[in-house]
Amino acid sequence: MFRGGRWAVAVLTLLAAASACAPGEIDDPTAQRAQTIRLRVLAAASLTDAMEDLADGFEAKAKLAGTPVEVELNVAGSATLREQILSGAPGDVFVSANAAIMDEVALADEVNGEVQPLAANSMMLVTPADNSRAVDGLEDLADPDLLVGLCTPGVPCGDFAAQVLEQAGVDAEIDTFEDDVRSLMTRVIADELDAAIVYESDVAAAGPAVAAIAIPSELNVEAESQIAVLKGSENPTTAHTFVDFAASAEGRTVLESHGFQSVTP
Amino acid sequence: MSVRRSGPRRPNTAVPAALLVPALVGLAFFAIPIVGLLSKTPWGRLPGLVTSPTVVDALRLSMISSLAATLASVVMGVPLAWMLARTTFPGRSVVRALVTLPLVLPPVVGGAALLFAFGRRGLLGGPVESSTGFLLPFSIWGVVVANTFVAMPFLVVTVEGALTNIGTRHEAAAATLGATPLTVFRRVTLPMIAPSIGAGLVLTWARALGEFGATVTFAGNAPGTTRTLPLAVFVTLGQDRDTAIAISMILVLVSMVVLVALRDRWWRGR
Repeated sequence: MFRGGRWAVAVLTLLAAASACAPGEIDDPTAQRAQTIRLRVLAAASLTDAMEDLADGFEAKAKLAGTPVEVELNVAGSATLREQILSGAPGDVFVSANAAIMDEVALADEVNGEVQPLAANSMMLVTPADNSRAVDGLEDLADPDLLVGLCTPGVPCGDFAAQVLEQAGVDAEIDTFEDDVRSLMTRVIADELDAAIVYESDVAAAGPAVAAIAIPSELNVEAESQIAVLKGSENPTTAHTFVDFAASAEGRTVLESHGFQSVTP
Repeated sequence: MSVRRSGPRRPNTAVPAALLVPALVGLAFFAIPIVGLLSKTPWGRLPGLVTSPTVVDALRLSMISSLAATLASVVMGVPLAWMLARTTFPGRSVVRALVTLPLVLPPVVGGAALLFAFGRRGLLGGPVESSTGFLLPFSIWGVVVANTFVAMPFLVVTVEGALTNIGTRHEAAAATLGATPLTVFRRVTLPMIAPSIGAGLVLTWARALGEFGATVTFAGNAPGTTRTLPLAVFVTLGQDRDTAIAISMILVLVSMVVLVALRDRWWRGR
């Protein structure tokens, strides 16, 4: 082969060697860990921080009870997670950002037991912290000069945003559709976009990094996130305990601290 | 003395099982996913799906951006390859590493790097946007830049290899006869490496056509502006599998045509 090819092979070999020496294989040092139950929670991106807190709380409780659990969070857009579940990805608990996606998973007979409502959320308009383009309402999103992002249709936050825009009668000029709400939010925080429609809870999570504009309640939607144990769970008992914990008063407090509204089951 | 030599021994051409079995497993590894794709293809609805607005929009965008990226790659890549093959300068190996880096870099990392350079808050993107209002991300220009970044190394590597292979004998002869360096490049070097440039072009174009990670990170994902065929596959996979399969079929078909057309140039040496 040609010289450039040899060069590329050399680089590849080097990279492979480097990654082989990389650390990362240092976990599970003791046999004590072997008793730990691993609980895989697939959660919608909008619930990232809340689920992390819930996982911590659950782990602490389980440790006290002498049955240590390690919660492994897999966070992505609800639609991506649905595809993963339907194609047999391992998981114990699924948290979707809307009822429609959970319905599809339940319809495919992938749910073990009851689906429970977890929290309610609504949509908000966000801009970078300085809101230099002076966005003050949904109708601004029709401005072609404004860089506007939404979640992809099919992902709950995308469908809810589309519903809000339709109810407001705004024909928005969208510059990008992101696969989940966290990547959309990141683009706003980084000032790559002028405006986006996200969940109220995302605004709470971002704090002063963004400026938020409320969407009038008659134009807004109620996004209900739901939680269920998956049929493929290897530890259904622990999974059910986790779901009950998330839906308990304690769980509700955690969710509220992250900007979610509580729902009565 | 016990060995009887009765004329030349016939070479044993049987493929040893130790090679044949893993080779067949390897072949199956590549063939089965394609068979899987074919088995899920809704053949009857294919013509309708391929001509749907979603696909036509993405196809148009993909064609424009990949061809523009190929053009940009040849304009910059051939001189770059020439510099790497024909001149010596300090740090040449570092330059070569830099130019070929996108070959091994995850495209999403490339996209992020582009964003930090040419994004609105990027190194160059910021000043350019505030003085001219021009912004690469979320426009087709962003797609072209992402495609070029990821695909151009294929051209550079191919052309540099060709330049090294042909040696400098003919160029030296032309120079002794009084040709200027630029004339030598135009009249001697270029015609000699033309086949390799052709092969590099096709590879570059094919890579640009398939680009996903850098594009979605740097240029965003909006139908009609930045949603090329691979992005459309990604989006439709979660909503409308048949459309995703139809687009995948287009990409598989194009890639196969490219590989068959290139098999002499690329795989069998120059």
